[in-house]
Amino acid sequence: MKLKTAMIYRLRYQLKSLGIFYLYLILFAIVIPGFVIYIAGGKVSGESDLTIPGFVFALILAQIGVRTDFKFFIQNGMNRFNIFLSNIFSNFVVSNVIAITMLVFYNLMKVFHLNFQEFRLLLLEQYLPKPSVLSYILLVVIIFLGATLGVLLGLFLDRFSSANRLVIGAGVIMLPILLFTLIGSLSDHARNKLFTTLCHILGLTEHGLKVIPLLITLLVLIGINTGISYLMNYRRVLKRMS
Amino acid sequence: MSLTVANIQKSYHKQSVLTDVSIDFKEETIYGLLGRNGAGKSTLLNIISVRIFADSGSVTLAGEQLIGNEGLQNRLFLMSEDNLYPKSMKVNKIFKLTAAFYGGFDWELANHLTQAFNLNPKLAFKKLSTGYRSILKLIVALSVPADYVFLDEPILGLDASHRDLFYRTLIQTYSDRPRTFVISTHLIEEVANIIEDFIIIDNGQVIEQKSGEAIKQSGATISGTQDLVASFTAGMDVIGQDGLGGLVSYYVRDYQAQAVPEGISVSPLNLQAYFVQITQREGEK
Repeated sequence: MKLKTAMIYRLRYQLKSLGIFYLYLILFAIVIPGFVIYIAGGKVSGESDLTIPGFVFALILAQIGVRTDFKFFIQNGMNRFNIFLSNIFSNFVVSNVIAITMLVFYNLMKVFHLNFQEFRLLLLEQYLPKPSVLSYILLVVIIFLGATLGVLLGLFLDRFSSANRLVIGAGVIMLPILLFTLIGSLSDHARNKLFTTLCHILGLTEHGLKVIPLLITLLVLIGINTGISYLMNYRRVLKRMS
Repeated sequence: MSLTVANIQKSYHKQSVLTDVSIDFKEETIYGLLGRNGAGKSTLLNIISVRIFADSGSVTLAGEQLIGNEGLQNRLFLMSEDNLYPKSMKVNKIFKLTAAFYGGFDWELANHLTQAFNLNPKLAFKKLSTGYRSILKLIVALSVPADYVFLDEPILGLDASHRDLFYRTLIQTYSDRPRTFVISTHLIEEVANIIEDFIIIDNGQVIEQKSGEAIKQSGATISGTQDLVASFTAGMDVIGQDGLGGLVSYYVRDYQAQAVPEGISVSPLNLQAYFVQITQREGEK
């Protein structure tokens, strides 16, 4: 009863937000550039990626939802596990909707060719030049990864105070520096092994780009994010507010 | 099916907020949860409704743990000072969603109260004043099919007329569908007549749990000159005293009726005076 209500509530909100997102996309990627070029009489042509906006939008939507909906769901007597499930389920459904609409939009734009704007799908075009079911799966997985990152970010912002956020945020920023220092200190043999492993998990082979290793890597990252989110949500408390 | 709070302990940053709190909430009873600011009332209510977790101890309903049990949690409702509804959500949408979440809602009562309190159902939560936010939350709390309803500062921001309407509605809805209400408030005298049992918390501990009638009957204010009152109350449980000029008033707990000497008057101790005396700090006396 509560889980179903929560899922319907979240999906309605997310789909409404998605509608607004597409309106903005059409306005800023097609209408305004087209109008400006028409007025100016120029022949400028640009490129816009659709994968990154989809990823970022899913991240933002999930981040907001996991914070505001928690309070509302707790007020209505939901337990933590069902709140967690409603998040995962609605984010997954919305990721599918984003992937479908992005692919439809991408293909429509190919049919109705705009001479001032070309749309791209980062990673999909490189890994899967020929469209297939895998293109759809890869896009869903990329967008869902954004959503799981959004959930983690939302839980992090909810759990830690501003001062702690700064300390942890600074630590995260410093992590790549530490990582590169560590890599630099490795022996040539170990470093080569590390790069080979990295190439392997990203599907970068001598025979070109392979999508399955990349998909597995992304799914593992989703699994890790979801696992951490579950643990952070398990005993999550409601903060006092006015 | 009683709600049992057993040996609850809670600390924040090594400072104890609740210490070994145990309360048994009976069915179909109206409780008053009293305590000074920071006594631990809201923390206790938040633990009972699984909004936060105790460091140790348990909360059970009909012998089953509440944590993780959504079916049992559905039988509880906490109306708190915290505003947990989405700011842009409209009043009628809040009613509809609450009905869907709880699997039932007394629409007749909700509609009647919406009209009686003159609450605009088309307004968004953020557009409501503090008083109307309280009214909205009260209507929801009274309309859900919960067996235990906790009201934390329910009359925050309500004017005298609305407070009066709320008290009358509470009594009416309780007689129509008896359930347990736990009302946490600082306006003791206003709720004194509707409360059956009082629970007084001080410094994170339950220091008194008695019926209102028992408090009224057992407590007494003994007034007179200092010497007379002091000698008359010798051996009694004096919980506090006030003085003006040569006259003093001693507040006595568990007063046994007896012959009163000339120059001394004995009157019943009202709840507010009783509460003030038993929770008074050293520096405040």
